[in-house]
Amino acid sequence: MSTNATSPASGKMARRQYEPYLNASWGVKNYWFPALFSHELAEDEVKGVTIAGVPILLRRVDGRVHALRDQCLHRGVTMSVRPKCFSKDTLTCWYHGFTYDLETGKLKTIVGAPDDPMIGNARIQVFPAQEKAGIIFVFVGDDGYEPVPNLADDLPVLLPDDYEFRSPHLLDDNIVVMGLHRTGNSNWRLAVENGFDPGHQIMHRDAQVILSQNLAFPLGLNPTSPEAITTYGEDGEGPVGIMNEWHSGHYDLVMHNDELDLHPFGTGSVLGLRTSMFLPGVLMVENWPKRGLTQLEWYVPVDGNRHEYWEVILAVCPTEADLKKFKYEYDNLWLPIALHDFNDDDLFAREQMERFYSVDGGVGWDDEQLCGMDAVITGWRKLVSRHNRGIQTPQNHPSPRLD
Amino acid sequence: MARLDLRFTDGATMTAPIAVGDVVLDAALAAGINLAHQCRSGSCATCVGKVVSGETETVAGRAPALLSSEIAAGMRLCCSLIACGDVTVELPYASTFTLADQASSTAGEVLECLPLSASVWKLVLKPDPSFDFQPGQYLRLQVPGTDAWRSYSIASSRDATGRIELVIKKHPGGAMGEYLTRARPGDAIDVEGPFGAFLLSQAKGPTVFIAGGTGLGPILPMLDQLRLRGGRAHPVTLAFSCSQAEDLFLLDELELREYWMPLLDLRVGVSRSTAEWEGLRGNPLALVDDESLLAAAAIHVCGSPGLVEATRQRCARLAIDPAKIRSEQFIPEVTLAGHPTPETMP
Ligand code: FES
Ligand code: FES
Ligand SMILES: [Fe+2]
Repeated sequence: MSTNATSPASGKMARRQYEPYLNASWGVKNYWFPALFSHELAEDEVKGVTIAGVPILLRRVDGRVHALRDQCLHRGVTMSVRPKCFSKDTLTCWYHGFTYDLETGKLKTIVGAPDDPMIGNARIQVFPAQEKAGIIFVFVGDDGYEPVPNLADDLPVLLPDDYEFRSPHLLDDNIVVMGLHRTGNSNWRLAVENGFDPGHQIMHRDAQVILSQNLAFPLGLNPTSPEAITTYGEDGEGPVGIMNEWHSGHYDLVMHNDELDLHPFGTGSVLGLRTSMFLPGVLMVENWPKRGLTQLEWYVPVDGNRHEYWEVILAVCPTEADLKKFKYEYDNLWLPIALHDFNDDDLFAREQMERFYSVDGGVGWDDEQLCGMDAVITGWRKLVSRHNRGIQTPQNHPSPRLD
Repeated sequence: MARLDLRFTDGATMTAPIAVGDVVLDAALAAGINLAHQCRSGSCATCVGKVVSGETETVAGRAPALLSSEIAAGMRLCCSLIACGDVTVELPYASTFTLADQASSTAGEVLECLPLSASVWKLVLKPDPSFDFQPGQYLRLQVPGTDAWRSYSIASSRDATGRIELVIKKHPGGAMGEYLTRARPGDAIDVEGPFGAFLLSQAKGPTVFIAGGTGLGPILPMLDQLRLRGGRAHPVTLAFSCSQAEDLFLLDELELREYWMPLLDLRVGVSRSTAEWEGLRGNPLALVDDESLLAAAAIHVCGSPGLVEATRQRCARLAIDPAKIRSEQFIPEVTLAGHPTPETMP
């Protein structure tokens, strides 16, 4: 059998350009990642999350969120599984009583050994944390990384107000964020690449959100000139990312496949629908699921095989009535048909790719055969390879110890 | 001040000043001798050593993690050991532990051998699975079929598991130069290492690498280490020259590094004039023309003794602290009788 696909050897050479990305199976580091919704962490509550393999304990005290490494120095247990706090400014490990300062992570005392020389001389990592628009963000990466970048640098680009078809942004006034997060059983990169893959319209052909709005969703979107794709942040300023300018006229909209006699049934279009992907892996879909809304998705690496899939919808709601209407539509429309029906298919697709690309012996990164529709994916891989703040090393058996 | 002598299994002794009443581990660490330790409270036994002379006491109020039989044999925990005067302690490991990973000797195997340029070859070895090294370190190897030993820096990245790459200048008259042309995959080759303390500076801030010819070898894994290590990225300058354009090698690897590291300023030159070369000219030191950069950076120089010396002299003229310069020099195998070894200066 003969094939037009590239030989494995030449594929390998081409891939070296984005070798750092191929090594980023556990994610990139030194970025702000969403950890929980604000409403998921009540006053005085303690919860554990895992981001890029790093176990992180979150505790809210007097409204403020503290984030510490969720792995005791002493014998490595996960502290959040049995939270113990004897004062507002400390956290005590439930096993042998190692007690850490919430602010600095320093070992402040050991319940039953208050004179141990280790006290004051050891600490666990603390992570910067902040809340924005109802989401708790944690800066995950190297101990002491500084200066800590602004959250805005790790969100999709904030387009100027008069940018064509601009839609709501997380940093806008009166922004309201509704959504969910769930765990996907695939590597985070497969999730990212699915998120803004301009080639998978066919998979969404029968989606409720398409049919119910009578949309003429094209069969394909193929970039026809360099202007089809805009990259951001290559000059070292602001977020680093890549945007499909679908409204730009530099895409070939495939509306008919003659061979199969296929075409979309709907007739409407979503004006200003545009997708972009930014480091550390956050998708912005402008004017989706309808004109004037924005959908954001994060694919937060949990480990080499799983990601936390965040799907939220943004609306600007200056009045109570706007808020009420958005909530109503979210609960009854966007949650079931956009965040579930439509995105369930995406989650399904990523999990279907996982075996081919698995960190445990998958050959996909070497043997995939990308075609014309995939230019933006290659662009993304190269962008991450050049402009990351660090590649996370696999965290299979990491130490909590700090020097 | 009393005197603390630390003896290691490789016969080396290191000496540190110690005040009467001070803890042995603290004095060693203060002198920059990185003895093995962990808890510093007498419970993990990592810091065990044997007092062979001198009067000592132990820190009161601790139950040391030692068996009575060990105590009877003179074993003590350095973190809990107080000097009452001059003391000599034997440690159960080699002095290289305090610098980097322990050297070992193993049987290697040739995986590949090919020319990279008119004068430089690449020899790829398959190491023992447990082999590990610090970027910048070198290996000694016995040229197969001869009794000559040669030393070469490791030019592959630390995470390139299962292969060690060496870049070798081919000297027609040398034992290795002669071997390169007949090397075959599968050849057995005896290897010792890793050795050397030409390691990446841990200072935060700009870094300069000055590489002459195969002096590029150890710089390549150091570049990868720099790229992958934690913390904010800083500017990096790599100046690399060979004498003729046809001697230059691994330019594709350098271009990839330049692509992956937007803050890498790559300067490639040739030092002897040839008509067809359109790039930079000069030895690698001359390629670093901005003196403010030298003054601000951690400097790593690797190449001929002349290059290393010239770098040191130029830095001295600029009143740059010599401690900011790390160097490794190569001696070509044909000019050497016996076993050449890269000489490392701290
Ligand atoms: S494991 Fe946490 S105190 Fe022992
Ligand atoms: S360092 Fe643990 S016993 Fe000395
Ligand atoms: Fe999709």
